[in-house]
Order: sequence, then C-alpha cells, then structure tokens
Amino acid sequence: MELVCIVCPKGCRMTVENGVVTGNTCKKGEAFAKSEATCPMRTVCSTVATAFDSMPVLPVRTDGEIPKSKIGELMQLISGIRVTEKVRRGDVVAASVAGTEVNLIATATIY
Amino acid sequence: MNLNAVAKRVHKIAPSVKVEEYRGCVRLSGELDSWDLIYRCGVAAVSGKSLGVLNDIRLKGFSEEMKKPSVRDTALEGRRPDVLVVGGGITGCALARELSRLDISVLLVEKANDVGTGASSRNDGCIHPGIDLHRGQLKLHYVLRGNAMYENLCKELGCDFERWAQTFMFSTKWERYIIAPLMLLKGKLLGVPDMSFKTPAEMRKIEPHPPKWLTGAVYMASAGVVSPYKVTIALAENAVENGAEVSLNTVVESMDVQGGVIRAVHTNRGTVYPRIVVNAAGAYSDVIAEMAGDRTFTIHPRKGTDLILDKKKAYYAISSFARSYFAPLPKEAREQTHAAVGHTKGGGVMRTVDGNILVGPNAVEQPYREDTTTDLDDVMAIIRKQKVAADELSTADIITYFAGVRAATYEEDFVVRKGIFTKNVIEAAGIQSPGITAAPAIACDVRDWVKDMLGAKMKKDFNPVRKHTPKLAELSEAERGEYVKRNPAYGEIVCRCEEVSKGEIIDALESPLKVCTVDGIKRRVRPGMGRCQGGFCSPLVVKIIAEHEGIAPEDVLKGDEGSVILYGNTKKAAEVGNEKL
Amino acid sequence: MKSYDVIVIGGGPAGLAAAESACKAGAKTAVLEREARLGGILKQCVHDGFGLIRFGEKLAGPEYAERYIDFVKELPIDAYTLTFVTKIEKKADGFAVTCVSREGMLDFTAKALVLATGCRERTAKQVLIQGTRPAGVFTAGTAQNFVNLMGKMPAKKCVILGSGDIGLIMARRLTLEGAEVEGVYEVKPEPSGLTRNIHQCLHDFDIPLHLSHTVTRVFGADRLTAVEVAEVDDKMKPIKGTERVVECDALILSVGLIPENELAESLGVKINPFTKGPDCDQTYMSSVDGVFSAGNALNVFDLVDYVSECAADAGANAAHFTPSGGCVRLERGRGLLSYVPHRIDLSKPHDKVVFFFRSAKDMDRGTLKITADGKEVYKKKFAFLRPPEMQRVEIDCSAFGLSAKSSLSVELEEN
Repeated sequence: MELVCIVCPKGCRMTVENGVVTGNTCKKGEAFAKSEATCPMRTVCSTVATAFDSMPVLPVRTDGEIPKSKIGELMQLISGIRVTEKVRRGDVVAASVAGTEVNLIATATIY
Repeated sequence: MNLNAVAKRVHKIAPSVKVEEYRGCVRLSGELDSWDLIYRCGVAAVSGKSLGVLNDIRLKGFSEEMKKPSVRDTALEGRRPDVLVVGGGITGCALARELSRLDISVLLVEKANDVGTGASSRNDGCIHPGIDLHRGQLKLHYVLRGNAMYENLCKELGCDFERWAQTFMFSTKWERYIIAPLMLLKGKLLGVPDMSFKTPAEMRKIEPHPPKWLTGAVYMASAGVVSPYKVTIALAENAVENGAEVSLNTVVESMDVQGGVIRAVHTNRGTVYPRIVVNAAGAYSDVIAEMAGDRTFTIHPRKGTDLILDKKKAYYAISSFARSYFAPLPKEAREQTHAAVGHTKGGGVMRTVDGNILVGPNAVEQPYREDTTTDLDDVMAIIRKQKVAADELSTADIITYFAGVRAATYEEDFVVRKGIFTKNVIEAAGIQSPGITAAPAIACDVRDWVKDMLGAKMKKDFNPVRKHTPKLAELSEAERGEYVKRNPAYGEIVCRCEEVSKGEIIDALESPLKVCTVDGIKRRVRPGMGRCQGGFCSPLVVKIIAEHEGIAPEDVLKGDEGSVILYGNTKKAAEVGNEKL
Repeated sequence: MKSYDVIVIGGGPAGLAAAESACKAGAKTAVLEREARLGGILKQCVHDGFGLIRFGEKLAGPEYAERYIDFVKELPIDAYTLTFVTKIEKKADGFAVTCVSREGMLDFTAKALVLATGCRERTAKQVLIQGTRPAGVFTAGTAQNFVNLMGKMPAKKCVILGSGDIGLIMARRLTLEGAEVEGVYEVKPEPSGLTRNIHQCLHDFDIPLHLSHTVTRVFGADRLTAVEVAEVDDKMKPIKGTERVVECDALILSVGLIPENELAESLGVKINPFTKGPDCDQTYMSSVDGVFSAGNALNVFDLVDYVSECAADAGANAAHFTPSGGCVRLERGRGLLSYVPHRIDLSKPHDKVVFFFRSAKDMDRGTLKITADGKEVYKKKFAFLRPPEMQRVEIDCSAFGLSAKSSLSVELEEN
C-alpha cells in the first residue's frame, strides 16, 4: 500500500508491505503508516453551537484520534451540542465521544 | 412618408418581412432566425417622416421572460396618485424628485428590490459634453441642459461630482489639422461649451501619462463624472424626503385604457388609478408604451461591458480619454483589435469619481433586455482596444467588471413627449447613453408638463438638500474625530479597502429609501467595492444588517428576492434555544 | 499622542509574534488591530496542524492564536483592537501613525514599524470568471468565516475552484457539515496545496480533484444555479468544446493570496515582484529604514510556525534597528519561484540567515546553490520540492567573503 504521510506538512511518500514501512523519515510516520494500513485514525475538528451571541459557535477538536469510520457518528453528536457556559480553551465539551476514550475539547475561549 | 422606399431598404435585408404603416409609424412583422437581420431591418426602417419604428419581427425560437418579483399583495390596491412613475432608474428617480416639487402625490414603482439596478448602475457615470450628438436630436437638447445642472444637483444631493474633462486624442498629423478644427467647429454649432485644442505638451500637463503617438487632442472641459447609482439613489431619497412614495418589488402587469385615457394600472401589489402615468421603464419602455396604447418606438437592447481597475492604477488617467477613431490603428494594434468591440463611439479610459480607473464600454446588439452577463471575449477585446491609449493596461489590474443594457431606439434618440394616442401618459423612454447626463433636464420638462396638465402648484416647503453623512474617510482628522465623538460606530471600520465605518452602514440602513441587502448597502456606502470585493467585510455587513433589522443572518439577501447568501445554521443545536441567557 | 519604540500593525499570528519579541527585546511596543479581537485569520481556522514546529503539538488555529495572545497579554504591550490605521507618515525621527477607532482619531509615533498586515484572497473576477453576478460565489476565506465564526452554511452543493490549502480545508469542512462538494477544480496540472491536505481533505471524503480544469462561467440570476467548467491547455487557457455545466448552489474560490501592502506602498516601500511583499534584508527590514515586514504581508507562507519565527525575528530586529548599511542583492537564478530575504546587509549579523524559498516546479531532488563573485559558496540538497511547500534553511553568509561590491545569486538545480 502506498500512502502520503499526513502527520506533518512534509508529506513523505511511504509504502507499507507486510507490515513493513519504507519511505518514512521519522518514527511518527512509521506509526501513521501502520495504523493507516489497519485502522485509519483521524483528529476531527469542528465547531459546536453556543448560547452566546458574541460567539455563536465554539471551535472544538478531539484531543486524540478516533477511527476514521466513526467521524460520521461524531459529527452527529457535535451537531446536537449546545454550550451554555463560558468554557475556556482546553475544557472538555464532551467526554469519551463515539465509543472511544477520546474527548472533545474547546480550542478557543468564549469571550 | 414614403413607405415604398422604406420597404425596399428593409426587403434588401430580409424579403419576408412585412412592412406597413400603422398610426404614423413604420411597422415591421414576420419571423427571422437572426437577431442581426432583425436589428438591421429596424435600422433600415427609420424614416424621418414617420413617428418611429415598430419592429415586431419575431426571432425564431427566442423568448425572454421578464424578471419579476414573486410577491403578490394589495399594498397599493385602490391608490389614486396624481402621477405614477413606472421605473426607478435615473430617469424615474429624477422625475420623482422634480415632481415632488409640486403639490401633488407621486408614486414610483420599480420591479427590482432597489432603484437604479438596471442601466443606471451599469454605466461609466460620464457626464457627457454632447460632442457626439447631432442638431435636432432630443438627446442634444437634454444633454447640454443636464450637463450644466450637475454641479448644483450634486451639491444638493451630497453626491460627488468632478468636472475632470474629456479628451479626444489624435494619433496622426492629418487628424490634428483636419479633424480637430472640424470638431471644434461642430462643438460651436452644437453649443458645447469650453472646448479647446491641446498640443501634446499641453496635454502632458493635464495627463501625465499620455500615449506616445499623441499628436494633439480636443479637450472638452465641460465633461464630468459621477457615481451613477449613487446619484440615482440620492434622487430617490430626496424625492421620498419631499413626500414622493417609492414602491419596490412592484411590476406593472397591464393597464386599462379607454377612450385614449389610462383608467387603471394593474400591478402585482394591487390596481392603481393614477391621473397621469410617466413611462420611464428603460429597457421595457416600449412594452409599457404598448400597454398604454402609445407606442411609437421599439427598444433594441445593446449591451455594454465596463472594467473597473484597482485604485493603484489611478495614475492611468486624470480625465476621461479616448483615441480618435478616424485614423486607423497602428499596424500591430490593428491585428489584435478586430475582435468584437462592436458598434460604439469607442469607449475609453477614465477615472471614476471614487478614484478607480474605468475602461470601456463596448457595444453589442442582443435580443435580451435583461441579460447582463459578461463574456471573456468582451473583456479581452476592451483591454486590447484601450491598451492603445493606456499601454500599461493589463488584466491583472482588473478588480471587477459588469455589463449593462442600453435601452436604444432605432431612431437612436430619446422619446420624451406627451402621449400621442393616450392623453394621460408621458413618455420618458428610450433613455440610453447619455441618459445619466440628460435625466435631470428631462425631469424638469416632464415636471412642467405635469404641472400644466394637472394645474398643480409648486410646493413651498420642498427641500432640495438631501440629508446625508459625508464620506468620513475624506474628512479632515479633526472633522472625522468630531463625527466619531458623536457616534463611536463612525470609528469602527468595517470595509478596510474603502474605509467604510459601521456607523455609515447603519446610516444607510436608516435612510429614507433603505434597502437592507448587501448590494443595497454596497451601492449606498461602498463596503465591498474595493480590491478585495467584499472578501473580508461581507460577513460583517450581513451581521450588521441582521442585527439592525432584527432578522437572522440567513434572511439577509445579496440583492433581489432569491439571492440568498446563507442556508441557516451548521448545527442542529443552534435551532433549539433562541432564548437569551 | 502616545510614543512607542515599535508599533506592530496587524494582530494576527505575525503581529503577535513580532510584538512579543519586540517587547522582550526591550522596546516599548504597541499592536494595532482593525478587528474586534486579536488572532487574525487563525480565529476562523478551526482545523488542526498548527504549531508542530513551534510547540511540538498539533493545535487548531484558535488555540495557536490564543497562546500568542496570552504571551502578549503577559507583557507590557499595548494592544489596540477595532483600531484602523488611516495614515502613516515618515518623520525625521520615526513614523507618525494615525488611526481611527471608537474612541476617535488616535495619533501615535514610533521609531520602527512592523507591518504584519496579512494577505487577501484573489476573487472570481480576478481569475476572469464570466456570467451573472449571483449570490453564492465566495472566496474560501469568506465561506470559512460564515461556517466557523458565524455557524452558518453558505452552500448545500458546491464546486471549489483552486486546490490551495484553504480550498482543500473548506472542502473537508463543508463535507463534515453536511454539504456536498461536487469536486475541486485546479487550473494547474498539479495541486496548489500541501500534499497532506490533498489526502486528508479530499481522498478521505472521496472528493474528486480535477487537475488542468477551471471554472469559466457562473449561472443564476439571484442565487448561483450552476457553473461551467472546462479543461485547459498547457497555457491554462480553456479548451473549446470541453465545457461542462455542473449544477451547484455555490462556487468557492481558493485561487491565490495577495500580500496586503497598501500601507507599505504609501511609505514608498519597494515591493518584490515574486513574493509581492516588501523587498527585504535578512532582518526583514524593507527598503525604507525602520519599516519591517512580517508574515503573509511579506511572503505568503504555508505554515504558521514559520510566520511566527520570521515575525519574531522582525520584531526583535525592529526593537534596535540600524539604518541600512552596505547591501548585497541576492539575485534570483533558475529554479526558484520566490524567496526571502532578497538582500544581505553586511553591516548586520549574517552568519545565521534564515532563507525561505519555493521551487518553481516539482523536483524530486534539487540542489540549492549560492554563487558569490562567480564562485560557488554554498550547496545543499533537498528532496521532494514542490512550489506549494516552502522550504526553510539557515545559511552562514558570513563565510562567503562578501563585500559591498560583491555579486551574489541563488539558484535551484534539479538533479
């Protein structure tokens, strides 16, 4: 399997054959290629609705990666969230999302 | 009239066309499969002795549906205005303002969601000197008078007006020695003021970057420039301030005419019973004249495209200039320019009143009255053509372009007259270039006719001065500071390209003829007119309109009905609670 | 009238980094920001990938911005928001800066300026798209503002023109929010954005990328109803007969960024034709003494980490600048699209010159070569060079034996 690394902006071109990765220039790349070959994982970024006119939506992201196949489920959940408190950057907006250990955290502070 | 001679000319172009005399007009009918042929038949049918050409030749397979508002209500049902003005272009708006000097009731109807959205906003804003006109033309009469009115008019309306002059530049010796004196003589005969010959050295003092081939120029100091849509809107606002009523999204659908009198006018917002109808319907003015039973002319739409360049290129032109078309182009330019620039005086390069350079227009005959789409061929042809006069010109300078449709008649003259077959109609029709220049003068004549017809009196309390906020970015620091002290929103810049403040946008939202759309605000106070074309400010403008009007951002439109910008919330959860915390 | 040592114009990532370092270098510093909040365009970049170099973490745009806002707030820096610069004048001992704000007209003086004014997006008309003027034609940044700051959908089914990073990011973002992205069309034969964005934004969501294609026309009187797309030839001109009409309600454009230098130009700053930003030396000082440039106003970057780095240098240099000394121009040789700096000021340290460059075309392997007075003085090999991906390298120019009369050139050789 041939793939392009998305860990950093360098975009190394890598090959995975029988679990062996070539073309990577760092360890993170190797790990990415292996997981991509078995269970691709992604960080998801989006926004959630808030109750504040000053900031009608709050940017959020997962604090870790979730299986790519669960992105749809996560987006459903995200669509239903409405933040009513003035959360700060890094605060957990939803814990253990889409059946994972990963949390959804705020990436900005509501002002 | 010699119908046979007319028929002979027409049949040379299209033998199948039926040529007849109808109520003093030459009427053409039949069906052809080329618009060019239909247009040429119309031109061939012009005869000095007829009232005009009724070109009813159908174009095979062609149809164009008039763009109409979908609203149907009874907002105007049963109204009995003294005068109904049909059309909110510059002619209609100038008329409404002049009529509001009289002690009568005036209702202006416009089918679009704002005034001045047709040809009145889609032109170069040139206040013409009139040199290209001919004796005996109504156009000449109104252009000379209108031109002279502009200084005072713009002062009253609070609109920018600059007499930046127009120059006609010669590239050969023979033009300089033959054409120039002839032009000056023509100017004298027509009554065009302040014309003079300039040598290349004199021109360089006026235009720092004249073309290399310049051998001399005829300089017309009476030419000026305005923002045409701004003037149109300002005229309408002042009319409203003086008691006229403007009904937008209102289209005239039919009229009841009995015994040579319009009894009723049916619109999508109810039936109106005016004493006098003034037809200022632009590209549709022949259709309105037909409804009124007073048609003696036909509109053949003629599209023109203009390019707007970045203000950084303002040095290209101080005045408005064009190369004389009598001498052929230099060889290399000739090979590039044959593309369809079409039939036009030629267009030129000019500085707009807002400090951009405008290049164009061209002229293309088309069957569509409302097709204002642009084409790459036109844009490139204009660039190639005007590059001869401004050699640095390049597509990279362009920030935007637009096209408009001129409401031309086959007689190539305005139709400004009282009704011939219908007593209570006044035609202010076929107003194409130079209609911006002419409109204020046309409005004065029509006002006088209405005054006589209705036995009306001048109002004592007419106020010609429109209430407005000056462009704050152009004030001195101290003056600007004073404005901000009074209203801090004047210090909050929303559009950074044109330096427009939130306060100025709110003023526009509270003006006598407020149009709460992004385009409506853009045309009034310019956010989005600059080099980023609203990239940064359009979300802010949407927000300000929504907040001010108490509506959701997704209910803010770009322009006409249907021009939705946003489709609601990204999140379901945003719908749940609109309760404020 | 308030006086500062350094005034930074623009409170985005470049301005914040410049202010932080100027202040830390001992300068009395102010930041002037025209928007209501600091952070610049990062406020609306809710996607992640920011900060890998600077913080060793993959942050979302607002997180990255807030970290810098916190740095600035901890320092004695005056940050003015909703403050718009209307005029700058050069005076004998610095600059007079006039602003308008809700408090009225504000006058400042500064010994040095850092212009961190960012960039703007090219528009539909600037790429000569024809047709009607309907609602539904947005630049990617405008669409991003609507979606990420206002929480509003600008499209249900859209076509994206241009494979620049913001276009790719918006393809993913709109898809995640439930819109259909019919396809991304790119006039060039290769993508304009980062390779990883092609993968994680398009491939992950099966969004087709049509290379050597462009949008030629838009349809729809009020709201966009369709666009016309066409294949282009090797001169990027649409090929007659290849036109296809795609029904959609929005056209989103990611067709290039233009550094914003209207203020710089008003000061007579010379603009480099390749970066479209100020021509600068290794301290990021422009052709006007005391006027520094940073961030996307200097040169459109693809990584915010590099923006912060170069802006921090610009800010520190502005804090104690000296007038331009003997400069050697770094002439542009083959193989390079653009680079900074454009000249080396020999009166200032030049042993650690940070050199940013883009290759003119895709190169699997390339060698960056610097020639001084006809002699090759520097050589470094690079792999996978692509025009959209800016490279960074530190060069010791003091080893080149330069004098004010030297000739200096840089080129990129494919191997």
